[in-house]
Amino acid sequence: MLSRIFSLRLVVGGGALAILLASDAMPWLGVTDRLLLDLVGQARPDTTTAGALTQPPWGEAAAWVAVLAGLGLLVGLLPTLSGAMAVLLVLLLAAGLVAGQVALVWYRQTWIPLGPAVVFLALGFGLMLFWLQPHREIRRLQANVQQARLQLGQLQLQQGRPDEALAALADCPASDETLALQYDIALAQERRRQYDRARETFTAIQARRKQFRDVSARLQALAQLTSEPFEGGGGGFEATRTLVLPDRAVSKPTLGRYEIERELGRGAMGVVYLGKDPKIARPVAIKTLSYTQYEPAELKDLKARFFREAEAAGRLNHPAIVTVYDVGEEADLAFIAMDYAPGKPLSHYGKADRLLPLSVVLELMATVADALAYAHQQKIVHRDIKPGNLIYDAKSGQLKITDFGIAKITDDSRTRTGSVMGSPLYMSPEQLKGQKVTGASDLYSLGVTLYKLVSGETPHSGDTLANLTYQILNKRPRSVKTFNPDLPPGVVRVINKAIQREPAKRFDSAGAMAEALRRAAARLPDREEVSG
Amino acid sequence: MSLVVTGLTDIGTRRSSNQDSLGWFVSPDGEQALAVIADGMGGYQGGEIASRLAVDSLMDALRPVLANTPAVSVPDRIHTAITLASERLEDARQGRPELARMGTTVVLAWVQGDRVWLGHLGDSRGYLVRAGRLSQLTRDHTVAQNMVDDGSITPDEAHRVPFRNVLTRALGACAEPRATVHELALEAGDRLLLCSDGLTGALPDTEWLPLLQQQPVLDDQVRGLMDASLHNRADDNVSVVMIQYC
Repeated sequence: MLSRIFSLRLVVGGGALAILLASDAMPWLGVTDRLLLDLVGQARPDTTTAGALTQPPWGEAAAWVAVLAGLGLLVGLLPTLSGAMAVLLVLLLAAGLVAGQVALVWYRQTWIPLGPAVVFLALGFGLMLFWLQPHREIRRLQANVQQARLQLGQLQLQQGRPDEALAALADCPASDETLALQYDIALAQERRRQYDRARETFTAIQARRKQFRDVSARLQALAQLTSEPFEGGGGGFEATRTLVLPDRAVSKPTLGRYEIERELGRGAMGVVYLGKDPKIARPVAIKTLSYTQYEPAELKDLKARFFREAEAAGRLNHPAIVTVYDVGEEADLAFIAMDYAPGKPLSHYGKADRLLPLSVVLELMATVADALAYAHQQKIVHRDIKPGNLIYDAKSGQLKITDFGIAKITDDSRTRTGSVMGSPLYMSPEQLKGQKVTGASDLYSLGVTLYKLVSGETPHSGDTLANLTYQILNKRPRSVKTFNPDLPPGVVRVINKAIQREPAKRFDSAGAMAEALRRAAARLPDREEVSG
Repeated sequence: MSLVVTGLTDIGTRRSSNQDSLGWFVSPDGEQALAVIADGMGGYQGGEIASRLAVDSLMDALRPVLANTPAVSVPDRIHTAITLASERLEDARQGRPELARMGTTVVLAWVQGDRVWLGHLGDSRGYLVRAGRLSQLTRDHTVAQNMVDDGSITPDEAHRVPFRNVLTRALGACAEPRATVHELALEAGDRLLLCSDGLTGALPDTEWLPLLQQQPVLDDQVRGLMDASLHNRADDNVSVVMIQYC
């Protein structure tokens, strides 16, 4: 505002006003007119003799128009022109005015006092010359700064910092380029599920330009969504809450560099998604650990455990173990990106009427035991072997163990009602007692898994957690033959040895159990008949 | 003979909300007293709401009948009030999915002259301090306690089991919560102590007596326990109510 009041343009404008209103008080303004009359008088004395010249009633108005035209040229047009062009135009206008005057006197004996306009033009131009040069300099710098801010914004967006990019853009005027960047920022916010912020950004774009790309459609789609609460406010209910998977008008959310396609399922830890690594178009399964359900203080320990276990699991490289590719963190969750194993979890085949053929089950269990042998050698215990963590692709016959080490990351002790916690059905007695978990615990769990897959039942059952815990710790398991009387004795022996309460009485190693499973499979009477 | 009651609750050093609630009442003649502690669970909001609702509901239901209930009917009154509180929790849950898992423990003491009835659900506890000895009057409704009781684990192992905090009974978590109610005769000088598991978690009960003996005034005794638990960086909310019979 101040710079407008104290600008040279205003001084020039003021000058114009002064000339229009008070030219009579400034006789020196008529200097060019007198000069002109003298010159014309010398050439054609007849026209300038007293009484020969008439002043038309519109003469005054014409003089005004001339001054205003001069003002317009100086203030409006001049700043946009190059120096030479400006000089040319001012000269042309001045010459035009003078020529007009002369022509009127010469041919029509009419006099219009355009002198003040010419003087104004000359003086004003002189003044403006002082102003123009710094003005151009400033304009150039401004453009420079805006360009730099735009580039900074683009860079920050590329580095995944949309909020900072937005701040960099704050003072840039609306141009196609800035709006396009603002639009990209809003998309990035959408993908990060910061829907409220995306909505603000889109609204800001709309305020600057009514119709910009599909902004209004996106705003409409966003109206249906709300951002995930980042801090506080949530209950334990969020443990299994999903990312909002928005409709097509809103960008697909991303976790790290992975695009989320859809939800695959929910675990104790959080939701599992099917994602895509856009760099190599590889499908990935993404397990998330939602932070909203934890107190900030305990979150620190939890995160440390999560990343440590994920890193350990990442060292495992075995055809029957799901490969961990990557771990990462977003504002409200941590995630693990791993190989997407097609197929169904074996829990699908754990019902009495859906059991897999015995030979297949034994082969699959031997595969798991082999993979466990490999992991145990690396000093990594799974801790949560159960049918739900074994993914079997019936088409290819491939089996993969998922969730190495990370399954039990979220401390069960948090849950007080026991309603959402994993069942202890597959947990070894020593695990239930909170003692050190070793490879032998995995073998116990694998034994229970085998029991389930050949009978549809588990060795212990209980209607409550307390009851079940009691059974597992104190009662003899129910014999698997009760549920599947046709089971060959060799298989029964493998199961009974695996689910011994004393870890020392189980198989010496996962390798030994794999061998026993294969021996039992080889002794099946007729493999074709059994599997048919 | 008259009754004095005092209590304190603190958020602890690591939690961002206090999900414990407490309330007490002493009749003007000092002959009857009522005290309740509830330790809520089921998310930040759910826990606070559940424990507050439980305490308010129990106080509302029991306070008016405190003076004129015959001794034989007291346990029934307590059970009825618990059922009522459970229903109020259920009502509050309607249409609010974020409160779906809310629930709360309860420990309450109903003192009438020299008789006390102690009711509880979950792992909030009641203790008796008598003649320089501390005894636990309630038995936790937890999976870990069950495991200790059936000999599966020793009491020392209880803090390590994976399901150690899982309650076998709680208000709001099961359809028909049944409180365990004990009756006890009080002797002059007896003190009753109710607490949430934040106190027992941060300060083993073996350390309580020396602290209690340092202070002659009941208020200071409660404050002493609270300070000691906070000094031990209590990671849960801590609540204590004490009733003195003298």
